[in-house]
Amino acid sequence: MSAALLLEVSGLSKSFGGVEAVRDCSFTVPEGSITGLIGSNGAGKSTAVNLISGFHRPDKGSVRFDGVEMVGLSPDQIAARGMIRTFQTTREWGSLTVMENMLVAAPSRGRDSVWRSLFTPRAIARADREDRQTARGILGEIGLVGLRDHRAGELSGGQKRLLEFARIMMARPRMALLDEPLAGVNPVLAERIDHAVGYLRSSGITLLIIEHNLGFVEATCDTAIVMALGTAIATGRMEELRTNPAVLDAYLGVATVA
Amino acid sequence: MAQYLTNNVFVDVLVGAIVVGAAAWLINRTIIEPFNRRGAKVTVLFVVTIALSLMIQNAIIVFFGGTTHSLVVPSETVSQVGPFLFTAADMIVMAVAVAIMLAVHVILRYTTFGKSQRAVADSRELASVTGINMPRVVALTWLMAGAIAGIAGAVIAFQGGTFSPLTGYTFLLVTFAAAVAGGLGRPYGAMIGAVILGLVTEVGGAYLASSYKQVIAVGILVVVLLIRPSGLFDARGRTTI
Amino acid sequence: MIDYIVSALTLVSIFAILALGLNIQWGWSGMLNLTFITFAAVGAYVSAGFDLGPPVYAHQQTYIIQLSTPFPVALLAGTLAAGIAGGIVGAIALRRLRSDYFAIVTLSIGLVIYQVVAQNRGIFGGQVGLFGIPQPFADLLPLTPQQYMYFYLAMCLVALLAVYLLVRHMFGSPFGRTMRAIRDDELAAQAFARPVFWFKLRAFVFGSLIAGFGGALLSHFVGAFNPAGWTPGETFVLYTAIFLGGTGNNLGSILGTLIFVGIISEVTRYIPPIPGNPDANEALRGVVAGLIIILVLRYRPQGILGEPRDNDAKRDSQAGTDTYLPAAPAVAQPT
Repeated sequence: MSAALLLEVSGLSKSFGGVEAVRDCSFTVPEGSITGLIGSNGAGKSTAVNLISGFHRPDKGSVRFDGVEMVGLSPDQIAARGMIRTFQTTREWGSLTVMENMLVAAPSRGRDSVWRSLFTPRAIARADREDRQTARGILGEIGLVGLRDHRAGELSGGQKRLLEFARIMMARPRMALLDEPLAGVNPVLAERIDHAVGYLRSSGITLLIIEHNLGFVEATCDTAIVMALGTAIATGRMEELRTNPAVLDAYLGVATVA
Repeated sequence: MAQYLTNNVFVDVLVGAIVVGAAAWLINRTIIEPFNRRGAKVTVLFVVTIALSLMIQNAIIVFFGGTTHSLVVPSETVSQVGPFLFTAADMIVMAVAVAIMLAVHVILRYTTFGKSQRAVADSRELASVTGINMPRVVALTWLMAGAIAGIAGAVIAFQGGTFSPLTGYTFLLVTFAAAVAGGLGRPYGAMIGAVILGLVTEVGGAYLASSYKQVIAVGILVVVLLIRPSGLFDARGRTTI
Repeated sequence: MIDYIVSALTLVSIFAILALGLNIQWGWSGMLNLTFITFAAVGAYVSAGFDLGPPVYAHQQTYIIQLSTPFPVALLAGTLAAGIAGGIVGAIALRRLRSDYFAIVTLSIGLVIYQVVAQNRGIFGGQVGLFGIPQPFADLLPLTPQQYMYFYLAMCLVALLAVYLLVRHMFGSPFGRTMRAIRDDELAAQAFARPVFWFKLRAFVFGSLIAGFGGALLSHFVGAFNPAGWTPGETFVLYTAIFLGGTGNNLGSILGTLIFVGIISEVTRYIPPIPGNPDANEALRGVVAGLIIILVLRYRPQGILGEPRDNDAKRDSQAGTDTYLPAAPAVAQPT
């Protein structure tokens, strides 16, 4: 029994001024799964994610999301189709409150047009009220609800990371690409992030997670894709990958378990 | 970063270079650096430099008066090179321009300082981590830019014979257009852009009314932005992350 | 003396309207439009052109629009013209999306428009400009000149109130929130499906419309309008007001305008002129403006009022819906 392939990446290539960051990279992500994307530094993982989410344009290759070609679309168009990503640094909207961050993260459905604000204010107010209620629930689950009137810029680093998860939950995408959610994170926070990841998954969001923390990948992900030198060299469950000669070769000396 | 041209009443180009260069360094020390230390955003600094130019330009009006001033210009000996007529002043201006371009090129390529500058331009965080003294590089760059601007100002006054507090503004326009057309952050692009833009505007100005020189410069700027947003010479065609 | 205060207050309220418009572009959206005053000028000229008839003294002023419409039509025309100009300039300047490019381009385009208008008598009267602009509603109301001044002040205050309420409503709307999010982090906004270019363009046009509206009020207040009224420096007067009052804070823009335009500018007008240097007082205002901007950015970047903050807890308790789980630390679940 195989789930539909939500994301199909094939032949992706990108060079930056002579340096080949991604080279003929191909992999797939089934719908409803949690897939890890691992590899040593410089393997091209972040670049691949940038290419998939539209922030860079690939030189060659194709990215099919739910069967539709994404290459050539702008990042906001791709996001509108249901693929949301995080960045290696937290990118909260600092002067907005946590609640306002959630409200902006919610799918807009045309609500942010000037026209509607002027001519259908009641409908907008109602939609806002509903979103606020939803947001409070999510923030409660993630553990940030007491901070919802604080400006996002005033939060601690860990709280900002949790906010990223809350925003994704609010946006209800079909797929989320997480860029090193556990980087530099202490064990207590790691637990909360772990919980947040589970929370996302339980809502049916497909996850592709770039991570160096192999323990996390083993515990949380169904399968993992291994990248090295810009291309995907293996896919499978962590136990299989641990004994895969190509993986060991590329990864020699870099294996870390939290 | 934003540059601005100031005008000064000194005939001697060297004095101009020293005074403006020193003023630029001082401005960096007292005003810009505190912002940088707090990690201010680029836009904030931009606004600060604009506010500064506002202050300086108006202070000049307050102290020196808002009318045009004139300089004594040496005799108008004219020599002919090919189909062009040059006065002595013109030749000096061109010589100075070439000298400055060479000097900048030499500094950037061959001195340690120049290399530090390029490193910082490439990546600020990486540069400071490798032991480059960031504040010092920034301070000296301000000095350099100020000195060049001072020379330019003196040369403009010298060549034109008259100048006013508004002279700075008109040249600012062409300077910006050249810098953007050449690609911000690429000094060689800026040089080439300036030469091309200068030629085009002056030639165009000769055919149309001279007041249209600026219009031409901006027209070029607009066209470049519409078809090649990264500037004519910037090979990178990607969004910044 | 009273007349003077009425006149000054009228000017302050018009500038406050302009400041509100600039606040939308800069305060909400982070777009550094260095030639905002140009859009006010568009509104000023076009509205004047709409309700001025053919020139009485044809040899003294010529201009391209010569209708004789009533004031409300002229006001609308000026506002829309500024909005269209904003659409064009914004579309060009936002191409590169980097803030310093944007600022440079707006400045350049503005300087050129200034030159073109100032040096071409055929467009809007060149350096001489337009004069004899009819006073709005003057022929409908039997007022003495002094009473008319009060009327105009009242009209401007009503206009200011209307603009303020509009702006405040939009600020708290999803559109306003999205603009502020774009200002804080464009990439994240894109990652959450917002087409940044179009939003910025919309905000730019919105600000330009208000600029045109204010500009129309200005030219009809003074009765004349020429390039001296919209020098590049005027934009900085507005920026000073916004920084002082608090970028992003609409009420702050009004407050900043009151303090800077109303009080400080008027004060510097009274400093005895330096002999032989007639521009000195005006220039002094520029020096003070620059100084205020630097000091505010250095020591109190949020301005006097700071940016308003959403208060969800209040909404929650007002709606009686505060029945949610308390923020307990989550426990990791085995997968």
